Amino acid sequence: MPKPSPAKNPTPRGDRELLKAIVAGERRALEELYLGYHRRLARFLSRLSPRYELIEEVINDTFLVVWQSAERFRDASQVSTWIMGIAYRTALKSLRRQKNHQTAVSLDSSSEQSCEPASEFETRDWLQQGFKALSDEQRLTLELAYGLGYSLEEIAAVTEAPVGTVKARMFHAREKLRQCLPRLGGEAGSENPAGVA
Amino acid sequence: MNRDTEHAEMTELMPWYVNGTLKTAETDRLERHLAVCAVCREDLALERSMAAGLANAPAVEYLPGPALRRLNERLDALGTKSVTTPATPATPATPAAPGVAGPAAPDAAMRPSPSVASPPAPGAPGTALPKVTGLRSGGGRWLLAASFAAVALALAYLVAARYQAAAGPRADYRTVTTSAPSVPATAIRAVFAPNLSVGELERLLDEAGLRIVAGPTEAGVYSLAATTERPVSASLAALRRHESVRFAESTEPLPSSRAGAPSGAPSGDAAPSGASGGAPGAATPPN
Repeated sequence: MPKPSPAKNPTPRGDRELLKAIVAGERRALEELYLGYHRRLARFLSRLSPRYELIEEVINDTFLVVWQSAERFRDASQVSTWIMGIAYRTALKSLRRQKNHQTAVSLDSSSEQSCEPASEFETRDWLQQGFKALSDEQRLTLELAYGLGYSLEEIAAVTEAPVGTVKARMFHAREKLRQCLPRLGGEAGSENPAGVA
Repeated sequence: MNRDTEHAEMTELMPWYVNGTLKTAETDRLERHLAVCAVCREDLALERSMAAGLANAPAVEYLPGPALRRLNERLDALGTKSVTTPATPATPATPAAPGVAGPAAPDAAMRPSPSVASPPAPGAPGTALPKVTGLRSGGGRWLLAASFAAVALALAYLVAARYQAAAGPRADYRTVTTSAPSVPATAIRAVFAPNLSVGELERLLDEAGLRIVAGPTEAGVYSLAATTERPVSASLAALRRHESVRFAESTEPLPSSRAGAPSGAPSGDAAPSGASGGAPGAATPPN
């Protein structure tokens, strides 16, 4: 199934070799893998929280797990979806704990808020507003689809959810965002909504 | 197939059509449908707006270098062996030295909390007590066994102490899971010029002996902590020498009340005002 995949690691064989070296205890291999994934992980996680401490903590926790469970990676799957999957679960766990502890209340945190559509919102604004209305799983799913260009099956692998659940998340995310569209003349989305052709 | 089902199916395909991962057969099907369905065209336009909004890069690029250093420190603290040549696999429960309690489970290992660095139980791995069989050759063998035991025990305690030492000052590694969440010791708050490149920022921070622990906030304020034993005033001065540093202030009142930035702290007042929420003064940036 030919598809453009600019966001994925262009040398998957490199990743597998690195994992083998990691199993053998080679720290340098872990570092190489880390540097290869850091940017996309930081980007992915920034959709959940603007807090650098949290992002770094999740990335580092993810790679601790990679270090400790590299031998459990099954050759049949992709290294990228395996690593993103670890990051996904680590991030959600971390956010749940944070909410329980109530240690930090951030307006950009992942608590869902209802959307207040306003006609003066510009494109970027209504999307920002809409994003706040989404659940963590929805945000991350959107980021996997549009930030990283993953297919439906790949996202299902990363989120360890059935394909149907992934589809539902995308659908509901769009519906929630639709409510945040600027109302033009009282009709939501009646005209070309965000100036997109 | 009725209209609703058709719409439901078509709408499910849209995200993958937009991000280019949809299979050919389904692409054809969707495009044929779009040609005759205005409602779905509208849905697609909305889907594309979402994609466009998410496609842009985030505002801040995070530097991998310092984070990787901290990961390495955590791995060191866990006693994970690091080899350059392939050797036996490093399994999670492998202790680094005899007699030391290693991480019990991967999850526990992720949290370098003091519970990981527990000192070895007395008489661990049977090396602490001389074996009875050693008596066969007489006193000499017994003495040798005892001295080995003493060395092993001492080594074990030494390693345990290193664990404690490693786990101790690393309070800034406590995650929000630990019962007493502690905030990294922010020493300085700073704002940098927007055109400062990632590499330049990293060099700048390295020179000043600082690392980012939080931020940037919406106002662009970074919280920085010390990476060396250098006094805060020295790091602050190093920062301020750079033209790309728009603003920098210490979070604590400095010993000399001349903090550089206009400060409302009363001069000549020996007792610090104890403002942990940031230096008082006109130059306090919005946080």
